[in-house]
Amino acid sequence: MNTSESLSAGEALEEIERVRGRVRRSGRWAGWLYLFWGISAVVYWTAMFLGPGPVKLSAAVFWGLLTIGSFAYVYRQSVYGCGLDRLQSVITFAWVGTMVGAAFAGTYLLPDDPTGWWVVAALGLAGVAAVPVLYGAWRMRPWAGER
Amino acid sequence: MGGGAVTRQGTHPRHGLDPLIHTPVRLSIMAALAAADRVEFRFLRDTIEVSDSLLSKHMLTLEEAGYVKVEKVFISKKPGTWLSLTPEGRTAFQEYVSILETITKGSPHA
Repeated sequence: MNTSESLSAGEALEEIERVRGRVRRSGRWAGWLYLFWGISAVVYWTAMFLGPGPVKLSAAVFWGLLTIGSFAYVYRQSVYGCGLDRLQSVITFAWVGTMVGAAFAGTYLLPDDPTGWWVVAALGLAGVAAVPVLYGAWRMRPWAGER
Repeated sequence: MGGGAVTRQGTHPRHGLDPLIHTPVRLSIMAALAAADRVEFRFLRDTIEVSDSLLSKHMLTLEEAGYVKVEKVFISKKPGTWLSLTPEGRTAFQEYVSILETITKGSPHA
């Protein structure tokens, strides 16, 4: 880049837009990660509540791999997008709450072999458990392009 | 804070441009940091296409002006440097952009 010459106002605005676009694109990872976690949480809890033994075991292994993979993915990132630092703590707190709540309900409230309305309740619970991270994905809106 | 954003009545709006920001490299640094909460040093270097030493030099200027915060962290013994704008830096950059827009829109002062 040109590091010495002075800039006109138009050139300065163009450079701001160029850099801004690049940084924002690189900062979208968190939104995609939240979305992936949200969908995975629905699948995970549905499997844990309604699936047979082998499916539950597979879901638990998948969850462990997802957690390890997510840490590695986050570690590799070099941009934290606008508002992520503040949003992250709120979402983490709520996420832990809904996950613990889902685990509690699955252990103490749902029957071992749910049928009828219990199936609906289990699916609803799986959806509720994912709300914090899906909210995070919606707030970050990585699919929306430049804002 | 060393903003130096001098605005004189009856003069061209360009006189209000913060000289600390209005250089090619520092403008790019401020623009990058304004678009995120935190940015890693190497990413910033590659994005604005400058050398480590040049980026460090300009970062020091902006840090001394109170515009930028530099955090050095170690994760698994691997060093990393994270850069972010301070509230003062964010305000100064917003004012700078607003003056640029005034100039390009050809206000009565332009």
